[in-house]
Amino acid sequence: MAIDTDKANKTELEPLHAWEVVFFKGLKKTSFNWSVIGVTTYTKDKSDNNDDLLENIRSIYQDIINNAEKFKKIVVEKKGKLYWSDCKKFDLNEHITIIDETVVREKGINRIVEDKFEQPFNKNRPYWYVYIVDDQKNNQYTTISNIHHGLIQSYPMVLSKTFNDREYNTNIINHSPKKLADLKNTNQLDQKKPPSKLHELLKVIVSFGHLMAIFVSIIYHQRNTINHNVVGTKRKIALVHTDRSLINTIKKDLNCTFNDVLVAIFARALTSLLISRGYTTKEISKFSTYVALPVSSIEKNGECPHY
Amino acid sequence: MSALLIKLELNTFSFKKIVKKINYSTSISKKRNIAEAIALVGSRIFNLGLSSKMMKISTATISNIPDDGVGDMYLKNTKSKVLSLYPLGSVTQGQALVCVNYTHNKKVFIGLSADGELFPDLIKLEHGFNQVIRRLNSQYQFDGGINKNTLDDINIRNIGKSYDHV
Repeated sequence: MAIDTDKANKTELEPLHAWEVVFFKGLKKTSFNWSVIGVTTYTKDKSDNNDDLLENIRSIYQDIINNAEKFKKIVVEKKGKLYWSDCKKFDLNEHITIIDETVVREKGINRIVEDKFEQPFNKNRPYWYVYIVDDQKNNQYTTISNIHHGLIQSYPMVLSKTFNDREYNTNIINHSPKKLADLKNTNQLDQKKPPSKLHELLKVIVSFGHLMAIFVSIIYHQRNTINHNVVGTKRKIALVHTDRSLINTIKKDLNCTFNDVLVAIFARALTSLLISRGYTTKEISKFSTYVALPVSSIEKNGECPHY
Repeated sequence: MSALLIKLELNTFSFKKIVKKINYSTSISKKRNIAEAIALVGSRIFNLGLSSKMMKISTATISNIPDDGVGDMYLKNTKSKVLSLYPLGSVTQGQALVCVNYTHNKKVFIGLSADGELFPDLIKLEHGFNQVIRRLNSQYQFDGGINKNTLDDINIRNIGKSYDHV
């Protein structure tokens, strides 16, 4: 993606945050697209027609734009630095479209989403799109929201603006930022018993060993790997769902976290895929497979992660 | 961006052992103490120019979108109820696939996105997920509590062999 240099001089500019630069600078060098896509399927009311639906989605995104100005801005470059700049040709109608029924019949939703993943964002338009797929047969419709990863900080706001207010469960651990702020005010987060010094020391040793193991893996990275050095332009997607109660039951039974269970399921599914490709158990044991779990400070202080 | 690297034991066939190993690896970054600080400093070597090397040994990113909402969701100002919401992340340089989870109400929605050249058979991963979930469901019967002794017996060694027709 080329960055428009000329426009930098003509409009009011706001420098990109350091973490935003990571995403937008990368686009100049690589072929892959930083799309974050949400595929949401809704029931369709009998009285709904496509025009009403389009109008509803437009009004929702108008509200989002009013609350997040970057949804109507583009990135420009001036003297080697990147800035947010108003997109003067912004038109909401260009960003929210209904996908033609014949395309839906021919491709199916998964292939449509894969297409959107493979298409780069238009450099001269704000970096988000919404597509509406009307499934008349099942009396449902699906929205495909394609938002650039550089706008990810606005994603919780997008969710809150898209859906009606709901009742919130105050008993779960993964609190919302607002809940965290409330807890902080009442000091509920600081009432944990501090660990003993011996306990701390043991954990330091274990942590250090864990890090050394990772470094050794990096240095002697001679084993089989699934990865390429360079990501291609083609994308495949798959959608899976399960019951929350199943994960919660396993979590309580094994005294671990929700994410630990999901990572374990992922590991088993990946093994089964490798077996289906014809690898033997012995060959699979030679695979060097790590997963990266993004670390954020959101859960502790209610603020956004720093990059 | 910081990330914690977790090694997956692909040749361990006990689900319980896999979870325990993952929990052991991740727990060092979950406590607020010196150990956590070391783990996080280590994980933040992404910021010290080693990111490309690190990303190459990391096959996948697993992330989640937190949502503590309960009850049905509707598109704003409509009666359109949300049936499913799958999040899909972008595949980062050097990696093979991304798995993003969105948990809402009674469901966990998992979106898998992958490099098409490396995973032309991504549907087999989807089938793998479904088979593991089915096996776990059959182990954890919700009518009579949990039988802890049976979890180690989950042996999914032969799951992949049933995909030959796909």
